[in-house]
Amino acid sequence: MPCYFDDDLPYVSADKLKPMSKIWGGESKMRKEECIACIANGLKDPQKVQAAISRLEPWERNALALVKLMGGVIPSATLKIGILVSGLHPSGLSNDQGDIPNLLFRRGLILVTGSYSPDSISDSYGYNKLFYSDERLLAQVGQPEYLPLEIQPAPARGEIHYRRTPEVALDMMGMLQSIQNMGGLKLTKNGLVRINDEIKLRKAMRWSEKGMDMDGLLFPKPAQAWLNAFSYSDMLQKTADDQLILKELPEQFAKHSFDAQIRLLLEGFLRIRTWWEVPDKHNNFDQDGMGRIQGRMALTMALRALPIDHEAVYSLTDFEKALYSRVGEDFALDYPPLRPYFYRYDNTTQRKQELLDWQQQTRTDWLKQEYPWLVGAFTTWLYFLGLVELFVDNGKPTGFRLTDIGRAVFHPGFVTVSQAEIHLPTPDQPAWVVQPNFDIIAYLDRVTPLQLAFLENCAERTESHKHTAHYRLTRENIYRGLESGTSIEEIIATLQTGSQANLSQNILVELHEWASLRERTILHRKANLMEFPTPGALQDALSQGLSGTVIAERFLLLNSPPPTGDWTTINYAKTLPLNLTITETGLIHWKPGFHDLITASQLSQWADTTDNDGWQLTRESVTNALKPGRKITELLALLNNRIIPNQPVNKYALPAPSIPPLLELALRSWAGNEYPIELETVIILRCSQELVFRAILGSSLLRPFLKGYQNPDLLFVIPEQLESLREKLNWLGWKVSDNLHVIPLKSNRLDG
Amino acid sequence: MKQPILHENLPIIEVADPLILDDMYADPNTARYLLARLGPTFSIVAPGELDPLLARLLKLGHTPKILEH
Repeated sequence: MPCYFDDDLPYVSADKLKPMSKIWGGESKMRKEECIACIANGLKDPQKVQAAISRLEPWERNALALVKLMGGVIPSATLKIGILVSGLHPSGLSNDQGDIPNLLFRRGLILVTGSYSPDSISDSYGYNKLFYSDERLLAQVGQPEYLPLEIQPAPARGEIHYRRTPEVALDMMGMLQSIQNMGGLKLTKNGLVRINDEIKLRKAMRWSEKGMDMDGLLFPKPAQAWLNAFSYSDMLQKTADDQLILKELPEQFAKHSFDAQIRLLLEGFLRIRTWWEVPDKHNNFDQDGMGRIQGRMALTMALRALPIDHEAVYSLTDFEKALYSRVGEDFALDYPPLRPYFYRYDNTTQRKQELLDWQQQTRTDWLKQEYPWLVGAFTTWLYFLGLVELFVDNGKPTGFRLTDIGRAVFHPGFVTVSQAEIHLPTPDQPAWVVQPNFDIIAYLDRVTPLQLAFLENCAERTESHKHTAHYRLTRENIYRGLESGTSIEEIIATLQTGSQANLSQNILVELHEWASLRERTILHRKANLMEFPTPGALQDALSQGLSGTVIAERFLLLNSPPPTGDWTTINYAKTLPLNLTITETGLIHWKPGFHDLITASQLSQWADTTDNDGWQLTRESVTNALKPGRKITELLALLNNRIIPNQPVNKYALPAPSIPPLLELALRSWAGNEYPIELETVIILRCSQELVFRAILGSSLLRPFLKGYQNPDLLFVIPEQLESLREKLNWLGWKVSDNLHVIPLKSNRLDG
Repeated sequence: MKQPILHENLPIIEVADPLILDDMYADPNTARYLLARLGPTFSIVAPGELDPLLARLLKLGHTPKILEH
C-alpha cells in the first residue's frame, strides 16, 4: 500500500490538482507540474504540514485521525460512518453525506488506493472504495475529536452488574496461559484456528460450547471471539509451521499497564470479522464482517463522545437513540439504507411523505436488527473487558455507566483516578494464603497482574469467584514454571512474597523434591557431540581446551558452541547424505566412508545385523519392528532417504527407484498388504492368429478338450484330453508345434 | 575413522541413573523413540521425535528438563 502521495500525483488530472494544492499555497493559474511540485514540497516540510493541519476544519482533522486509527487505509463507508458518529460534520451538506470523500480529496487529504485512478473519488461504485492519506500528514494528526452525544443521564433500573479489574485480569491471564500450555494453536490451510484447538481452549477455560455465562449474561462462542481478538490485537504471531503462538509470554503481557492491555484487546475485538455478539446469526448475513467492524467502531466512538460525567448512568434506549440520530440513516450491519431518489413524484408534499415513510422503515429495521446487536456488544466484550457497568432488570440490560477502566480507555484526557488506583494491590495485606495441603486462596483485590500470571503458570486454578481464586500447587505446574525459565528459588520467593509469610516446611520440601526430579532426566534438543577415533584423541582435545561431558571414552558432549577445526561435520537438522546400498533380497550395506550415529540404530530396529557390517531385512525382523506400533511407511521413508538410487538406464529414462520394486512389495506384504497372484501347472495352446483363436473358442467340437482361455491368444487344455485334442487338430490339418515362443529374460542389474 | 566427527544438532537424552534409561528401553512405546545408547546414561533420540518422546515421558510421570543445546 502506498504511504506517500508523490507517486500517485502525476495520475491526478490537472483540474483536480489545483484545489488540492491550495492548502500548500498553490494558485489557480499554476500548471499541472507546478501543482505537483507545490504539494510534494509542502508534504516534505514538517513545519508546513503542521501549519496545514492547524488550518483544517475539525471534521477534516477527524477524517485524518480516522484514517490513522485504521492503519493508514480506510474504506469509504467506514470513513463516512466515523465522521458521522463524531458529530463534527462538514458545514452546508445535505442529508446525503456522500460528498465527504470528495471534500477531503479536494483539500488534498486523501487519494484512492487499489485503483488505476487515484482521483476517481466519486462514482456509483464507490461504496467500498479504499482511501489512503499521506504518512507525513498522519504523523502530525492527533486523536479524533467528538461533539458530545445528545444524551442525558437517566435514573437506573435493575441490579448493577460489573466486572472488577482483577476478574478481567484473571480471565486474560488464564486464556494466555492456556494458549501457552497448548504450545500454540494449529492453523488450517485456510488460515483458521483448527477446531480441535478451539475445543481445547474452551475446555481449558471451562466454557460451554454454546456460550459463557457472565453474571447471567450470555457471551456466545467465547473461544472463537477471544482467539480472533488475540489475533487481531497482534498478540499472536504465525510460525513457519503454521501455528499461532503468543508474541509475549503471559508474565511479560502482565507488565503492561492494565488499561494498555484492555486497549490492545479492544482493538482486536473491533476488527473481528467472523464472530457475532448475538447467538445463532446466519453466516450469510454480513458475510465479510465489514458491517460489524463499522458498527463496533461507531459504538466505541459514541462511547468516547459521551458527556464527561463520571457518575452518569445512561439508559440503553437513550444511547441507542443518540447513536441512531448520528448514523442510523446511513448504517446497517448488512447493507446501508438507501435514501429515496424522489423520481416518482414531482409534488413536494408527496416527496416529504416518501422520505418520512423511508425514515420510519429505516428506524423499524434498526430496532429489529441493529439494536439487539448493540445490546449484545454491551453484554459481551464491553462487559467482559470491564469497560461498562450494566443495569439489568429481569435479565435484560437497561442502562450502563463507564467504569474506571472504561473512562481510562474512552476518555483518557479526563481520567480522575490515577493508574495506580485503577488496579494495584494493597501492599500491607497478603495477596494469597498458601495452605499446608498445597491449596492457595488468592484475593483478587490484592493480587497484581504479574502475580496472577505467576499463579496461572505455576499452579492449577481449581475455581474462581468474585473476590477469590483458588489454586493448587502440583508437580506438573511447578514443572511448567521451571520449564518457562523460573528457578525453584524464584518460585518459592514469589509464593512467600505473595503470602507475606514463610511457607510450611512440607511444601518447601516437596517443591525442592519436584525441582530435583526435573534434573534427573535431561533432553538436549540440539546437542553438539564430538566423536573421536580413540580415547586418547579425546583426551588430547580436552588438554587443548575443548570442554564438555565425556561419554563412553570417545564422545564429548560439548557445553559451548563448537569451535572451528579440522573435522568432519554431520548436521542432523539437515537431510543426511545418501550412504546405503540395498539388494533385491533386502541386504543393506554402508557406502565406504564416515558413518552417522543414527542410521545403524534406525536400521537395527527393522533388520538383523550381518557379520560383515550390514543388515538383512527379513519377514521376521520387519514384523517384529511393526509390533510396537511402527508403520511400514517409516521404513520405506528411511530407505528412500538414505539409499543411493540406481542410475537410470539412459539420460531419457525416469530415475530408477531407490528400493527395488520387488523388495518394496515384499516389505509391504510383510506388513500385511495383500497382492493376490496365482500359480498352476497348465498346458497351453497358443494361437498367434486371432482367426484361429476365435474359431477354436467358438467350436462345440473342441470345447470338451478345453479348460478355459485368456485373451488375446491363450487356450488352456484339460491335461487328460491332450492327446484327443492333438488328434482333432491334426484332423483339421493344422501344424501343432510342441514349443511355445516366449520372450527370453535379459540380465537385470537389480538381481541380487 | 582417522579424524574427529562433529555431530551437530543431535537430539540426546541424559539421565542421572542408568536404571532410568533401562526402564525407558524396556517400555516399547518409549524405546521406539530411542536409538543408540552412547553410554550408561546417554542415548540418541530419533531426529524429529523429541517432542513425542517428551509427551511419552510426561505421561509416565517424568519431568524432563529441556535444553536447547
